[in-house]
Amino acid sequence: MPLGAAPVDPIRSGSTKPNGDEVPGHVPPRPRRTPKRWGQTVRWLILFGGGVLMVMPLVYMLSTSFKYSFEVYNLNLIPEEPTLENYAYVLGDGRFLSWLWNSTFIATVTTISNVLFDSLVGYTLCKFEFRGRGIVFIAILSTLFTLQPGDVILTGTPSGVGPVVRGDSLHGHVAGVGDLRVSVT
Amino acid sequence: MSLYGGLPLASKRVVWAWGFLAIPIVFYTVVRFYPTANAALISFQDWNLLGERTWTGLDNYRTLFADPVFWKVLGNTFKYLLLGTPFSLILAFLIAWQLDKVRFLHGTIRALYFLPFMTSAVAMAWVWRWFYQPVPIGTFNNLLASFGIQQIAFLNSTTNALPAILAPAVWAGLGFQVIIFMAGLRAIPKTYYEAARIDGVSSWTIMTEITLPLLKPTIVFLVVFSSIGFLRIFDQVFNMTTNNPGGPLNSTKPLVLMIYDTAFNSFDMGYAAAQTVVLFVILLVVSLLQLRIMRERS
Repeated sequence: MPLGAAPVDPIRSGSTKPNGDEVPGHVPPRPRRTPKRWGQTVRWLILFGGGVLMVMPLVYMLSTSFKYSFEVYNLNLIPEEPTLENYAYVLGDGRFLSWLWNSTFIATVTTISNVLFDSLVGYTLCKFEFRGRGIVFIAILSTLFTLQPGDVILTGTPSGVGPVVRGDSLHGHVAGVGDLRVSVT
Repeated sequence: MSLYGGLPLASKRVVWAWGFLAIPIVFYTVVRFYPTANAALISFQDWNLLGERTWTGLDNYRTLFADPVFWKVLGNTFKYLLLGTPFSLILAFLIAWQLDKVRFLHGTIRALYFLPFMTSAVAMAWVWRWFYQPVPIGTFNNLLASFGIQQIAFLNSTTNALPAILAPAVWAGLGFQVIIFMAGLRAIPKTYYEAARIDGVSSWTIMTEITLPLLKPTIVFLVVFSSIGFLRIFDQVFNMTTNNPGGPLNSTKPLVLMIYDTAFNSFDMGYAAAQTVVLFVILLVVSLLQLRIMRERS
């Protein structure tokens, strides 16, 4: 409840003490607006005001689209004489529809080809072992991270890896430190 | 068919792997790497798009570095970068930081900030251009007039035009930066804040010792991306100054617009390519510098 002016919530409006004990037969007072709540309200108002300011250019664009040209220079948001004339003009000559088709076509083809080819590349690098895989993979990774000599690249799960079951014997070896063997029974 | 069928299994997998990779590799080579290399080559040549390409060596670069317009334009480009990036990132961080604490209508407010990002830069440049016009037309000056305040020449002034063009660019990008900052803030484990609260740490220390250090990957990403964006600014400038692109008196012209002018109005492809190479080098150096500085700070 960032807005302090809405104490309708029975849980928070004070039918219980802060420690959760019910107070029988006692109707507790509404919580006061504490400085913290004022702070929250002010924060909310500033953020909401900022958001409204952000969309004002879009709102003006929308409002002007319903205005006749003589009213365009008026600051009113609600047109005095609303009109669909501008929409009829834009949609009327057919060029707009062909532009819309061009945009839709480009967006669709780009999205489909991205999804298709990116998943092909991702799948190939993840699941196939082949000569040159390292170069392609490092080429892509280098655009994301600065790779240093000695960096280890681990991807996916190597074949043969699975859950530990009874009877398995786990062997660990670190050069210069020693060996470790654990038998699972 | 028999050629493929006779291959061992491992080789078949190799065929499939390179088959899957083939189209993106061909695409990148033809559409990205070849034109890039070609642009670098043309920058050492003289070419008007139709005639012969003649080798001129470093002539284009010599002309460029002796051109006062180039230095003016380079200054403008860095003004866009140095004003736009810090201003928009600090604003976006403050909004994201506060919005993260808001629950009531959280999604609605976030949507309000994000909406400008979804609009077309070209269309919005024209709307803002209309806002900036002198009195009977422009919204801002009409508002000022209704309060009895003196008119401001936004796009017609050599000093005001650049910030006036930068404003819609910052405005359009803000929503994206807010969303990314919020994602970064959400990714910080709450346990750090709880521990800090138990220890009675001041909110300033929480900000400088917990929030900002843990937000560093997000900040690095946004600084690099928005810097590249501001260094490549074009749509807003071109559309808000169409009668005299980059004007008044080249005061708003960024490097990309100079490249566009040289290539498609003067048809001096070699000179334009040299400018492109310089822009590429600047983008590369700025990005690498930022990555290095931001990484070292940890």
